[in-house]
Amino acid sequence: MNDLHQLAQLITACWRVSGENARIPTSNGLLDRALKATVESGAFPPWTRGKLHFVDSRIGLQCVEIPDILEWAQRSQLTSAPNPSYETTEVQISDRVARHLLSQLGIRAEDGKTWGSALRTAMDKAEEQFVGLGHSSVEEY
Amino acid sequence: MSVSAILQSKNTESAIMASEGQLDMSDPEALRSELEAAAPTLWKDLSAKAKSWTSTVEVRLRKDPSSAYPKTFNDPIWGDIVLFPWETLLLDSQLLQRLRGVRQLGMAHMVYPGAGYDRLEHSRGVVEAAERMVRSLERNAVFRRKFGKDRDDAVPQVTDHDVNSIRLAALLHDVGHGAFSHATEPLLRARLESEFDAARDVLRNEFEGVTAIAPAEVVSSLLILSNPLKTVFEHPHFGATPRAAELPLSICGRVLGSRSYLDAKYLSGVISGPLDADKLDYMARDSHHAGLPIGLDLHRLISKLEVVTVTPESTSNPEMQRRAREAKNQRYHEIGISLSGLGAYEQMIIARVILYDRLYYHHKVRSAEAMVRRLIRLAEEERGSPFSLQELFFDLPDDSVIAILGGGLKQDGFSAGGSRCKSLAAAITNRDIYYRAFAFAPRFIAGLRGLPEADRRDARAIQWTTVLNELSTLAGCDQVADQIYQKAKALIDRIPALVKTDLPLLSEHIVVDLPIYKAPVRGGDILTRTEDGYVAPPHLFFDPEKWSQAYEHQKQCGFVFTPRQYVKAVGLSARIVFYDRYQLVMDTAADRASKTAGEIKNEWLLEAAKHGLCSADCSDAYRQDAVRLVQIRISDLEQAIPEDIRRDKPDLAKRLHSEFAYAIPVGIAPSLHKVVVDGIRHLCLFLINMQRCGEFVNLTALDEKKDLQAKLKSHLVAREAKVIEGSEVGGGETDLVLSDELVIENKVIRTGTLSPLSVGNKFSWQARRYAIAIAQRIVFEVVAYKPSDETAIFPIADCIAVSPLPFGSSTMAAVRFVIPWGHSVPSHAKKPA
Repeated sequence: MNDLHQLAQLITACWRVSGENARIPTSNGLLDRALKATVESGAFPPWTRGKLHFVDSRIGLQCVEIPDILEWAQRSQLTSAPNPSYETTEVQISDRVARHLLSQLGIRAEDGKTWGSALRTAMDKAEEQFVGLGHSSVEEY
Repeated sequence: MSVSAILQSKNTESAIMASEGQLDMSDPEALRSELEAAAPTLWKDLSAKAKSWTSTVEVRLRKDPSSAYPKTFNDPIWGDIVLFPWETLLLDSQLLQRLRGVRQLGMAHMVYPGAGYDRLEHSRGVVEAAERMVRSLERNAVFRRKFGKDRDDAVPQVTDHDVNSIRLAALLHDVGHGAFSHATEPLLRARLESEFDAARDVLRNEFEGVTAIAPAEVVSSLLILSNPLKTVFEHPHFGATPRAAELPLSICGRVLGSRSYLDAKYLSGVISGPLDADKLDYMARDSHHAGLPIGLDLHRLISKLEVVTVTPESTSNPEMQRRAREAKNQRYHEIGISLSGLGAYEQMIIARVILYDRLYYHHKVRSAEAMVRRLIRLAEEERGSPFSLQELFFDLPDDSVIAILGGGLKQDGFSAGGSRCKSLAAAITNRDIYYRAFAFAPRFIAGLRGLPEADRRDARAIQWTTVLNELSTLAGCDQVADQIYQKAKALIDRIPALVKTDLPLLSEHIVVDLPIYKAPVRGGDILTRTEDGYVAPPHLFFDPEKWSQAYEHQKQCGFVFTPRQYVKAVGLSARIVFYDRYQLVMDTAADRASKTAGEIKNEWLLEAAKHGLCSADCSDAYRQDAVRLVQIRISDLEQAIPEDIRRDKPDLAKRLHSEFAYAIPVGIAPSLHKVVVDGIRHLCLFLINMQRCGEFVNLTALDEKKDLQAKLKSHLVAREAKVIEGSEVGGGETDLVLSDELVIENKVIRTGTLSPLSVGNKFSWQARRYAIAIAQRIVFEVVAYKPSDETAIFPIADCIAVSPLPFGSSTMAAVRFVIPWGHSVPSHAKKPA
C-alpha cells in the first residue's frame, strides 16, 4: 500500500468517527492549516511522522501531500468527487466502515475519534483565523 | 528587451538591483555535500552521467570559446525561437541531445501518429514560453509602477541573472527524464526510493516555497547541481552571468518552483507553478501534434500574467502577512493572473483534464507503456540482475532502447536481448499492442443494486479500498498479474476452447494497469489582485459537479491487458482472481469497457468450477444478477439463537449483528450466509447441551480431538449437518469443516483464564489460513477454557462473540464460542459478583 493512500484512509476515517458533519473543508488552505496544527499537537500514529510536509508557498501555508491525499480519498470512494477548486468534500463512508478502516491501519477507534476531534477543532480555529478572507471576485471582469 | 540588448549586457550586472533584498546564498558546496550524504548512489551515478554528457562542452569552452553563437529555430507552436550562445553550447551536448528521441508522450504515437515529438523540441519550446512570460511580467511591472489605485513603484526590475537562469532552467528542466519519459519514471523511483525521498527533503529544505517534487525533477536538480555542471557554469567563457557560483542554485530553484535565488521574486513560478512555461508548451504542443483541439488560449494566458503586491493589509492569509511584514518596505511581489485572465485559466485546467483522458490515458497508450515497463523488467529477469540507475538512462532514443532490449541491436557493456525479450520487443515495434481482457473500476462493481444508498457507498468504498491497497504500487500490480497468469495457464490446460493457438501463454503476456501517477489538478494555487489591491487565490467557477463527475468517470478504470489470442483465457482468469482475492464481480458495463461483452462464456465458469479452478460462489456470482453480498441481520440471529439464550439477554442478536457489521462491513456471500446462520444455531445448541449435561465439569484433563472435537462432531452429525473432519486444506489439517464452507477450529486452553473470548490470537491465525484456503471470510472457533475462578463462568449469552481477525486482515471475522471445563459443579459455586 502506498503512504498517500494510507494517509487518505486515516484522515477520512478519523473525521468520520469524530462527528456528524461529513463535509471536510478543503479550500483556502483550511485543511492544510488544520492538519499542521493537529500533527504538531502529536496526533496520528508514528508511521505518519515525516510523511506530511508543510510549506510556506506562494499562496500561504500548504501541505504538499494534500492534493494527492484528497485524490486518493476520492479514488478509494471514501469521499465524494471534489469540485475543481476543492471547496469541500463529503466523507461518504459510515461510522462502522470508518472504524473498520482504522482497525486495518492498526488504530483503535477511540484514538481515531480523538484525532478526528482534534482535526475538527483545528479546522474551526483555522476558519476563525480566515474570517474576512474572501476570494477575488470573478464578477469584476 | 531585444536579444542584442541582452547580449550587450550579459557581462554587466543590471544597474537596477532588486528591491527585495540581497540574496542570502547558501554555500553551494555544503548543499552538494548534503545531497551526496543523503542520496549517495543517486549523486554518484548522476555525477558520472553529467560528466560524460557535458564532456564536449568542457572541451569547447577550453579550446574554442568563440565557437558558440546564437541560433534561431523554427517551431510549430511559437514561430522563431532564439537561443543564446551559452544555451547552444549546452544544446549541442549529449546532456540535451540525448533528449532527441526520448518521446515527450511516451508511447502515445502508437495511437496518435503525429504525437511522436521529443523532449528536446519541448525543452526549446519552454525556453520561448518562459521568455514570453518573463517579458509579459516585466511589462506588467512597468504598468504596476505607474497605473492603478494600488500602483506600486517598488515592484522590482527583472535582472539579466534572473532572465538567463530562467531560460537555462527551461532548457534543462527535463534532463532528468529517462527513456520513454513518464512511462519509466515509477521504475526509476522504485530503484532508489529512500534516496529519492532523502534528496527531495534536502532540496525542499534548501529552496523556499517548493511543494511537490517529481522523481524526474529530483534527477534534473541533482544533475544541475553536480560538479561537472558547476565546472561548465563557472567557466569564464560560459558567459551567462557574472554571478556564476550562484547559477546552479538559481537554475535549480526555477526548476523546483522556488522563490529562492531570484532578484524579482514574482518570477518564481515561471518554470514550475500552476501556470508555467512547461505546461503552456507541452499542452499546446501535445494538442498540436496529436491533432486534438483543446481550446488553450496561450496568448491570453501569457498577456494576463500579473505582478501582485502583497502587504500585511492586502491579504488575510497569515503566512503571507508574516512574509510581507518581514520583507523590505513591508511588501513583496508574487506572480498572479489578472481577473480578466481567469476564464482562460479555467479553460487551461479543463484542457489538461481532457488531455489526460483522451491522450495520456488512452487505453492503447497505457497498454503500450505497460508493455515497455514489462520489457525492461523482463530484460532484468533474463539477465538475472536489475538495471542500475546509470543503465536506465540509456542515452539512446526510445526506439533504439527497444531494439537493444530485444536483442536486435547490441551496445557495448549492456547485456539484454533474450528470446522472450525479443518477442516482446517485436510486439511493441510492430504495434502488436495488448488488448483489454478485463476492466475494473468502482462504478462497475456488481451486486450492489439492491442495497440502500448508504450501504452501497459503504460496500463500494471498502471493496475498492482493498483493491487499491494492493494495486497502488507496481509490485502489487505485478503480483496480481502473476496470479492471473497462473490461473489462466491452468484454465487453458482444462478448457481448450479458451485459446486457438499453440503458442504458450507467458507471464509477460499479462499486465495489470491502474493509472495512479497523475498529478492532481489544483486550480486555486495562483494569486489574483482586485482593483483595490486585495490579493487572494481566485474562485474558479464553472459547473464543478458535472465537470468532476465526467472527469471521475473517465479517469479511474483499471485494465488487464494481454495479446489478442489470450483475451478469453486471461479475461476468465482475471474474473476468478478478482473474486477470490477481493470478492469482487464487475458488471456487464465493465465487459463493454474492455470490449469483451459476450466473449467470456458463463459455461466456462461452470467448467472451471468443475475442475476446482473456481469456487461455486464465483461461478454463481457471475451468472446471477442479484445482491451478491449480504449482512448477517438481526432477524437472522434471532432465528438462529435459541429462545433459552435470548431470554437471558434480549439484546444478544443486536450485539452480535453489530459485531458482524464491524468485522465484515461488506457482508458475505449468500451461500455462506445460510451456513453461518445454521452454524450459529448448531453451536448455540451445543453450548446448551454441554452446560446442561455438565460433561466437562470437574475434569482434570481435556483432549482437543478425543473429547472436544469428538463431542462437537457427534452433536453436528446428530443434527444432520454435513461435517468433515481433518480435511487437508491450507497446509495442515483443519478440525472440522461444516457444509464444505465453514472452518470450525477447536482449541483447549489448559491454563486458567478470566477472559476466554479474547485469549489466544494464534488460534485465529490458524483458522484464518484454513478459511483462506477455501476462499471464505469467516471462521468459527470453539474454545474450551479453564476458568481462573467462578467469575469466569458466564451465562451462555456471554459465551459468544464476533471479532475481526487480528493482524490487519481486511474482511475476515472469527465467531468464538467458549465452554468452561475442569471447574467445580455449578451448584457449589458462588454466584458471580
